[in-house]
Amino acid sequence: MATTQALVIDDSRAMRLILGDLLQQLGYETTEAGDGQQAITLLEGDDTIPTLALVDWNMPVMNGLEFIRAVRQKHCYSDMKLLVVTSEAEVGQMVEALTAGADEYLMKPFSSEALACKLEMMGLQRAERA
Amino acid sequence: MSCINEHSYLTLCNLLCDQIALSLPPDKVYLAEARLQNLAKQHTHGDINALIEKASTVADDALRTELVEAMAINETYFFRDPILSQSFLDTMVPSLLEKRRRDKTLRIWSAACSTGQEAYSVAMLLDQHFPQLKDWEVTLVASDFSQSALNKAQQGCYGLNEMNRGLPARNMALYFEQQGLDWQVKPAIRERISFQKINLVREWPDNLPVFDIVLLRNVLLYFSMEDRQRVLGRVRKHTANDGYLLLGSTESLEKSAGFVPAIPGSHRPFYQPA
Repeated sequence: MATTQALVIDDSRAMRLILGDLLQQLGYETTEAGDGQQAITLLEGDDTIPTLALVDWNMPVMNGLEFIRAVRQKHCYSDMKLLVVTSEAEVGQMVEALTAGADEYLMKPFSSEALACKLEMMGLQRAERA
Repeated sequence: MSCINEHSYLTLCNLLCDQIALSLPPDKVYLAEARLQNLAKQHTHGDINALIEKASTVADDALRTELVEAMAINETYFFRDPILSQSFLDTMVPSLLEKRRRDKTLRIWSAACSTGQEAYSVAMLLDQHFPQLKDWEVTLVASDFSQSALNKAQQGCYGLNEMNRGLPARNMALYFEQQGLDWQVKPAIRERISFQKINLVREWPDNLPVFDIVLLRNVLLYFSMEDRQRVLGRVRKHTANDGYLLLGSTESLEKSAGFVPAIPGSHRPFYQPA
């Protein structure tokens, strides 16, 4: 079975490493981007569309919300699940992200179990990840 | 940290069995040491053996309660296991909406609610998916033996880690309001739940009604076979003949329990009276 792809978008290298590690433990193969624009460039340069993208909110050049809006405008990415992973914990921002097309929202700091739980909720079952 | 000796551990096991029917296996000494450490610091200068001795001998119910609550398993989270939503949405509520359409009453009991996430999950499910229930008399009782767990449940206030576990972001935005770093269930949902202190292995309140749905999830597995049968027998009396009993996702019932699978041949842990 082909490995499931995930894209980690976060301006913090440490956070990208942590998230990448957690996702690899859950069976994902990961790629990284430091901001929304880099992520768009990566997506456009690759034929494989990731199953999942973990999206930080505050990033330079193109922030997470702008990335979600850009991705949701393109039909080819409609199946890609978008999980916002952020320290922004305002209800208003959560609603904004969901309205823009995010599938779920995970607040930092979080446990590995919470991440796994969110993925389950997004319909990413273990069997698909193995 | 002080170590628990064999005599004290046996005393602790007997106390837990007597108070809440919790069968503590012989290999959980480390767990008891970790959980009782703080309580021992407060009451017996850090000596856990002395704490157990004191709690089991003195006529001090408060200390005994504190000790039992410290040892209790309060593991819970919002929408724990997909079976909760699936059974409510696909089977139990649609069927009861039909069966109770004349009376327009629906009674649900979360029988070991711990810190309340299960009961609030049910309240949110009903609110989101069954708007027709607004005209019904819906009773949602949530009970636990632990007063401290009930206090937290009643307050409906949860930290980041609890919010991140199992709760869809949409529900977070719809049903919670921020209280500093915590999140509190909005009053409109909180007020729908009646929290009561009930110890499943002690006397139950006389006015406890018969319920259409009983949630008894991840509780029976901690009981001895005898206590399990006793509790199930009483649960049966408080379950409507056409009602449902929902267990935890990995639990099942033996044939003699007085319940049969709600969907014949299914391995889902929800049952109906035999």
